[in-house]
Amino acid sequence: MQLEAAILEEDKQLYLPGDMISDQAGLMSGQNTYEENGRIYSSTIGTLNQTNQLVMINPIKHSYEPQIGEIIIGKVVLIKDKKWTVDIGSNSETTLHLNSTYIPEQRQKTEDDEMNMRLIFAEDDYICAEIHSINNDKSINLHTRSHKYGKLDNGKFQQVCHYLIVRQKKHFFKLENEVHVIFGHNGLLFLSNQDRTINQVDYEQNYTIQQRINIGKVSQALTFLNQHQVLISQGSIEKLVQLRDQKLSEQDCLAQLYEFLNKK
Amino acid sequence: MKKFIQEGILVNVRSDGRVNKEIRQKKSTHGYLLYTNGSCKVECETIIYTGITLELQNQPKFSIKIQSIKKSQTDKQKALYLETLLQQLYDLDMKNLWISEKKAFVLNIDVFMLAEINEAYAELIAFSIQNAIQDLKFPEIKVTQNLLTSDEEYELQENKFRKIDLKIPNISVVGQVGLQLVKDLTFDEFFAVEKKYIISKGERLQVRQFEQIFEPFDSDDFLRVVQFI
Repeated sequence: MQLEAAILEEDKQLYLPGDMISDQAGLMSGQNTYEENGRIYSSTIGTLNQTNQLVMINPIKHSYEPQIGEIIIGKVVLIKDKKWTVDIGSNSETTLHLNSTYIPEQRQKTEDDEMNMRLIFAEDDYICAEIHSINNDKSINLHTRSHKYGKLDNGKFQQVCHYLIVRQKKHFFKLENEVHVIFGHNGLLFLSNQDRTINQVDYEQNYTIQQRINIGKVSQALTFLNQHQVLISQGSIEKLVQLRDQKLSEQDCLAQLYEFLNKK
Repeated sequence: MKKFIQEGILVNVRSDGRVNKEIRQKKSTHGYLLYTNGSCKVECETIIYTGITLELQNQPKFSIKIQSIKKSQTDKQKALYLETLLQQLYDLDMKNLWISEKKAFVLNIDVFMLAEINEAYAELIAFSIQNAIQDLKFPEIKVTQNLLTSDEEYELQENKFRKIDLKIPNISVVGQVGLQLVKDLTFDEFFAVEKKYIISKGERLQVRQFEQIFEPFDSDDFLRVVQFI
């Protein structure tokens, strides 16, 4: 697995729950650690992260922890009190306020807008949004104040492990085979023929057969990357789609993919 | 998303790149669980563990129990619905399970899923049960008569197994969009198709429409489904 290789390459020791990290005096136990009889132990599987006197463990596998500025794709589950509650796969409550949505006329939201919230986003709709702020109680506020964000429809959603998504400058890509991908930091990706970087009222609705075949290839590539725990980025997806077109075996595909990613 | 999936099925290009008749590769590992008479781990869209334990009782029967690591408000009703449905479809021939005139094997099938219990996983659960039954080993039991009490006595023969042929029907789910039929539905496809059929193909062929298992349905649809499978 690429994650395992990355840990071994950096020569980091892996700590298991209950492993003693340090018995030195003066150290403080941080996230995913606990203190007992003056010694600090790990409470999860991960690698050590020490900042001055603070000792923490970075877990290998963990639930999605949102950060401000991250782009997420979530599902609307509830509409209440001028807010939409969105499920982004995080432990914290995530809401999108009516005032944080994008309306082209740039006007204030009225009572009519409040009554017609379901016309904007209804329950079970998927939306793309950015994390605006995190409150003291760890609840999350989203915003869709850009034409890039908003309701996602008529495309393919793919769930992968969130820690495999590589942090990049942008998360709206057009792949070589003309498939547009939105990388949600929470592990949900949206594949379509819609270029959301362009401000449009209606995005392209009809798919040609070739577009559908290309989306299917990208979907299969993502399933493969997720299954083998390979980091997911534009480069890795494009390379894997090329390799799979050559009808190589699974082992050969993986070997060539690792070679390509290591060269980068 | 529903529209994208339905239009894809109509042109024979599904959202994950398969054609309508194509089945996904499912990874199954036999003998995965200890302390069971037969077990299996199936990995596909989710991971399902199935273990079968045997008991001796006065009547042969089999029971299915489905549990999940993820709890929801409706999981008990959904589990009950799936358990009842699968028990009706698994029309097993029980006469092979008798070991004497008074005692027979009882199969306790336990299914454990790492996803929320949902009827969309019915085919995957059935596949897992089928693989676990293929891994099942019936122990050899020596039956003797107690001369004093004239009761039957049973002795387990260690490392000896009895061959019992359990003919398991093949259960599959087929979806319909317009006149197009599609096999091996993913979770999203299950809720996007217009009609869903559950088919048990064994000694008898049973075809039922999901959510209407006690009602008959259109004969043209029935013929189309039978030809498709």
